[in-house]
Amino acid sequence: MTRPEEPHPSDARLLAGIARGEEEPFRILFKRWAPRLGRFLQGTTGSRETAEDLLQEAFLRILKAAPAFEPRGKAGSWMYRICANLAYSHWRRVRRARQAARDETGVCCDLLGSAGSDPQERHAGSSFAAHVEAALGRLPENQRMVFLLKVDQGLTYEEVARVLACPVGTTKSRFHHAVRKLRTDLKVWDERPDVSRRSPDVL
Amino acid sequence: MSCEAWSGRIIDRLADELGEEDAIALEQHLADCPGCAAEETAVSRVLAAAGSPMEWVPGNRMEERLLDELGRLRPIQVAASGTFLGRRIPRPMKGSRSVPAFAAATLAFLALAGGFWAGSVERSFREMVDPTAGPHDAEISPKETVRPLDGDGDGGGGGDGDVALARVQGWITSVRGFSGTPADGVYICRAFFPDSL
Repeated sequence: MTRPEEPHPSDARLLAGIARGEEEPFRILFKRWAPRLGRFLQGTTGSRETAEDLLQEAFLRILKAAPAFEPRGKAGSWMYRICANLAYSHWRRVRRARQAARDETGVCCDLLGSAGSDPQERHAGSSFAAHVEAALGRLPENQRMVFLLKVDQGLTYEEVARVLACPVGTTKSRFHHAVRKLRTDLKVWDERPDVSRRSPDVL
Repeated sequence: MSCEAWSGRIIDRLADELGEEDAIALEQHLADCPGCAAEETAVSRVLAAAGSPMEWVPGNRMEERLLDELGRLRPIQVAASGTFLGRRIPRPMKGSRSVPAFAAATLAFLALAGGFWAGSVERSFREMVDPTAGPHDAEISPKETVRPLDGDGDGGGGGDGDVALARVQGWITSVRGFSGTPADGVYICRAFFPDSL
């Protein structure tokens, strides 16, 4: 049980409380992780609505699997992994739907939710950030996943490797490829004076 | 080192993954190479734009819906964790859990013992029926079982081949014990009722 005198209980302790069916640990965990995981899911799927659905599904899985969570592991990596798996499943569904639409109509359908394709989701105007987001949506899925975990969520190469269950070298190489692709995609902005030049301290 | 190789280090440094020594070497290179310095500025701009913190607030009622689900799951969770509100729920006594395990172990032992017994009985029957099998089994090494069984390879006649086949079959049977196949049944019937086959 979460002790009242503990102001910042660890994720593992909260999961243990959830496993016992307690509400308060769940409230704390949700408050702590929902914004982070939601942003990650929106980055991977490119849609706020899809991110909402996947986030709810992720927390349902967390609730159900909490009794099986091993306190030796890192709870954050575990939750990111659940979200990453949901994102991969979402991409598979989108691909299947796209293929089915193509088979039926013979036309390539791009309106089925590829990342960054929803006009409502895009930033207004043609800011540099909007172009970065669009370029991010054009990255291969596994590179986009690594890039978001690294840059947006601030994980280390090792943590990303743990989340995605792949070697650290693979993670590093995917990240380098992603950055180089983005860089090539956004080269036209190099000479523009209006691009913000703040340092990437978010990393 | 080429500028292409340095670009990997630029990315690692901006991702805060470059060791101290490599970072110093990179700084020296950037001071001497305007191309790489420009590359670093451009990459840092991309990373800063991609990593700009976006406020993300979960939708209305998501937390409440999940809490409802937690309430629905609670009995299952409690059963899985073995506790409720911090108190351990008593589990069934050890003895009652060990009964099925003991029964399974007893059954396994009986099956094993029965198999050995049946195997030895069957071998005895076979010795009565076929004197080439049984007592000679131990004299045949596994290596010999790969010999050609038709007798062509060792220059012997067809009779030798039949004897070798019987010996090999006897050896295989002795290794496997009583297999319980229809062939075993035929052996036993031949022993008891030779006229019936």
